[in-house]
Amino acid sequence: MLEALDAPYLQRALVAGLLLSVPLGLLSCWIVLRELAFFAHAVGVATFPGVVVGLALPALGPFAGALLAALGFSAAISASEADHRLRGGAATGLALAVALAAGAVLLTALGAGAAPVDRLLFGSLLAVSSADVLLCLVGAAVSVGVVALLLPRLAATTFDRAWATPAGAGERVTASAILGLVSLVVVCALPAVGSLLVSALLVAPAASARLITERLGPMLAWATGLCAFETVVGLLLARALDLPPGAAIAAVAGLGFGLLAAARAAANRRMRVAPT
Amino acid sequence: MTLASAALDWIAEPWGSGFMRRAFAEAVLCGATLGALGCFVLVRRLSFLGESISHTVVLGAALALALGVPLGIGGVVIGVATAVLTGAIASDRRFSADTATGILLPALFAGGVALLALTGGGRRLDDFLFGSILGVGAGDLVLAGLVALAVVTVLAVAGKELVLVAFDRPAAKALGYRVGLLDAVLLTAVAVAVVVGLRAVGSILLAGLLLGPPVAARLLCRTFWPMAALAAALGAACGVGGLYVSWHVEVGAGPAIVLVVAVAVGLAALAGAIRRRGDGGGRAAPRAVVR
Amino acid sequence: MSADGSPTVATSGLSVSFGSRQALDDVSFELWSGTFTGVLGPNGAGKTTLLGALLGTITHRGSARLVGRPAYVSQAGAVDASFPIDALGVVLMGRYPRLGWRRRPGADDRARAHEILEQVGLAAEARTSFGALSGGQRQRALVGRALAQEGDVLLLDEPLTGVDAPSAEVLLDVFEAERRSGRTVVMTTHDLAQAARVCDRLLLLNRSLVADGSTDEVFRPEVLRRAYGGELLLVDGQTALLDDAHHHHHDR
Repeated sequence: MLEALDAPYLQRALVAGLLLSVPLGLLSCWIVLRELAFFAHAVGVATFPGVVVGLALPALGPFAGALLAALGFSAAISASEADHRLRGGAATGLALAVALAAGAVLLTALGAGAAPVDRLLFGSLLAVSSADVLLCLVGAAVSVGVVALLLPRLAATTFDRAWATPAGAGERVTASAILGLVSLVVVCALPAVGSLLVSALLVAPAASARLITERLGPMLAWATGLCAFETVVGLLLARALDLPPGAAIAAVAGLGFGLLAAARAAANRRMRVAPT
Repeated sequence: MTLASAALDWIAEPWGSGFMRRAFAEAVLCGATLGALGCFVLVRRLSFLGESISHTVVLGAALALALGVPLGIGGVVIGVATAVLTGAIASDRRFSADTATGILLPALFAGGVALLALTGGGRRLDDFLFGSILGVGAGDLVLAGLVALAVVTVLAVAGKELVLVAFDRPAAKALGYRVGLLDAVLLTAVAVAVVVGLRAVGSILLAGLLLGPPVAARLLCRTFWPMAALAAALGAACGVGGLYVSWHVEVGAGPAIVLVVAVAVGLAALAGAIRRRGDGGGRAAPRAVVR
Repeated sequence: MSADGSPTVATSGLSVSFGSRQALDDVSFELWSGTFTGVLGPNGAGKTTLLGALLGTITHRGSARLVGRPAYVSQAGAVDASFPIDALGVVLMGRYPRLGWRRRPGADDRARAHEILEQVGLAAEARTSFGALSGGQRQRALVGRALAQEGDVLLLDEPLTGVDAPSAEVLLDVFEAERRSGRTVVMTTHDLAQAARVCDRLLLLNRSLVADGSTDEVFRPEVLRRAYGGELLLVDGQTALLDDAHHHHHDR
């Protein structure tokens, strides 16, 4: 197995994965605390038609296509939540199905030049190029910078929007920044993880961290660490068992949460039984 | 050839093929069933859970394949388990339903994809993802028919109780209704309908048939039962329409159906907006505006 | 009053509507510093809307002016109690607007936060997570946050609703202390007796301003009936209200 680590394609995937686990881990905390998991899943899926179009138009490229699709989708979804009859995510669910359907149709229409569907949906270890790694670095740096800058506002508006808004926290700016960053990081992760399962790293690590700690700072740290660990384990597993990397990573992330939840439950039971 | 006869040909052509006739029947049955149930998913704000179940049933199918058990059984078991586990995680005050669903959807779906890859069922993955309505056999139709019948029965027997629970859960409890049981009935029905719908449009597109017709109906109706009836009718109609598009334009049936649903929702939104402007009424719910 | 003796909170012809529903209708009043005003009214009277208009988060017609920095304690429901934060963290959050949203709280801020925790009786709970606090303790932490803002006008939206008696006493002492140090304190409530006890001025709101004055001026049966629209029942010299749905025969 260790000789396999010499393979440049695997090294690139690991480096990209480690770079991205920082913004993914940080953002996952805000996804969990602000209840944006559905959004994160939907944005991931919505990049699919963008990638297809981007691949067909060399001038655009898959990265730009995916990013435009993700940002456009975010804007449309935010707008639709205003209609009270559709609150609860119905528009999100419908829109992501439509995006997928459009992507599938475009794929057949634009011909065999496009990449095979499974790779777009679940990622591929072979798909991560050096250019992608560079993009991951830039994406990670931008995300970490913005989150660090906005941290007090994020905390205040997530905890209590009614107080934070008149206190000047700039709820709209903060919310838009998060949506934009999620789009950026999702697009960076697409080559390795694919569009259908990228949301795993945007929810499970933070949820696991929340099982471990009651404070925000440690939660951010744990989420990042867990994300990195699960990404690496998932990538190695994908290589070893010849699985699509997206599936391996998502399964590991879910398993991580399950194990931690079970450990917590066992610890609680022991505490209750122990004599005081 | 006149325009009229060309149009008639256009309409009649697919009916010549046996597989298309069966596909039409399946589309009508699945579209109507999912459309009606989707209305409950919509008003109970369970769209994410519906999306989740439509993905996690793939794990159920993969397990069933591996164990040599009927796919439907595996799908329903995992589908119901998804709902139960989601509720379990969400009962922890630190986790919302959104988070709970966000944990389980990718984890279980990935498990299904991985299992299929490991057990050599990978060829079936595309079918599960995008549906295989053109391969529907008589057995599938019987199953879809029975499920549709079962859903109609459930709605006839417990429909108004389900609506009460959706509208005002505390009141339903206070009136002595067994809210937990009603939830279980609804979620099981959704899981079963999702498993059957897997054939028609596939796992990842299923939200289109589950949520689209209800959304369109909601934009046109003010009360629940007309909405449910309209959603069922729209679901069936979009299923048929999508198959026509798929036949004549040569795109996949699943995606075609969902895109026809999208058009229907767009038209409904337009019609609704025009009607509201005619009424002179404003937005129904008050919103405070941030200066 | 502010430096030149003018009111710190003033509205004139304030009206707010949401779609076809009129929430506030032509409300006009003035408040000065060093006062503790209670805003009373039944549910749906527009109390929260009034505060929103003063804070600038709700669009309105007419004017709603607030001189100086407001500190706001919203109704309990808006807070995410599952957020990973402790009582000290909640109070510290009150320093953010003063610091500017980019700087982190320093040693001075932490010292002040500890003082405030002492003041609201949460010194022992500084490191307890917010979600683990009781309802009364949570409310004290949120008031502590408002104190940390060191605003000039303290706007409290039903701060004592559902709060246990000891916590309520602590909070009322805090509000009185703020009043004495020259702040303008405004508290919405539906507890008539409590407002009568602690506030020096009462505004009776039912979409429009039904009454404005001291306790004696406002607590007259016909005034209360106009605000609440119900029957009055006198019990042991205290006034209680029954709403229109219940009709009892009673001896006076």
